[in-house]
Amino acid sequence: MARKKMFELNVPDNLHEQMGSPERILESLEKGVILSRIGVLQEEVSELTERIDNLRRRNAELPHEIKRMEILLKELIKDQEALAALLCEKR
Amino acid sequence: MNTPRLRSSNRKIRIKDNREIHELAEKYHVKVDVESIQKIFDLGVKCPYTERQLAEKLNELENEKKNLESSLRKIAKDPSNLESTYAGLRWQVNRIFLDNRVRVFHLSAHSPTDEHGKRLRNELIKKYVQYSQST
Repeated sequence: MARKKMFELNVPDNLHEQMGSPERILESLEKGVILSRIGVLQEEVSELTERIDNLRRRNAELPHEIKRMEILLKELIKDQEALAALLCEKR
Repeated sequence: MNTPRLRSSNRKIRIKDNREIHELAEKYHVKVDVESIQKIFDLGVKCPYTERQLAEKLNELENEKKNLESSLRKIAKDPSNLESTYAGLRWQVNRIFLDNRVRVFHLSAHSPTDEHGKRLRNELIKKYVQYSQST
């Protein structure tokens, strides 16, 4: 049977007595694990908030961008017709 | 002269890699191994909050994350289809622009007889050739 792995933890001298029991060690580990999870979640929440802000900004810009593209397209179609007429004249 | 030896302020304790530790890691999706356990333990030792306070904060963040994910899904769905309208228009603009540029190159070898035709030709050459050179 494989021997169980051991973890070695450094405990501040003044806390060594308090940390004597396995329950106390586990309690501190649990707090540490929850704090780590809280840190990860805080990062995820801030990333999601940023993505939502960017999407909202993009959605607000799109109607203006579409208008701009429509104006440009009209101008290009007008040029296309003028070019076709001029080239037709050439022939 | 003998210098006094500084006593180490830390002591070592050894704990078994047991089921409880693995359950904790699994429950909170946190990796607990030889490298990270000390950092996690230190966080726990220094933490001024009670387990209950931490659980409340955790719960609050989990809910906030769920709400944000749901908002993101709603916004990303884009019911008005603005993004695809914009993409379609851009594609058309690019295609017609390139088409016009090719026609302008053909036109540059030709000079219309009437004034209006000449002016229009020069304007179009200026517009498309200058744009091509500036990009």
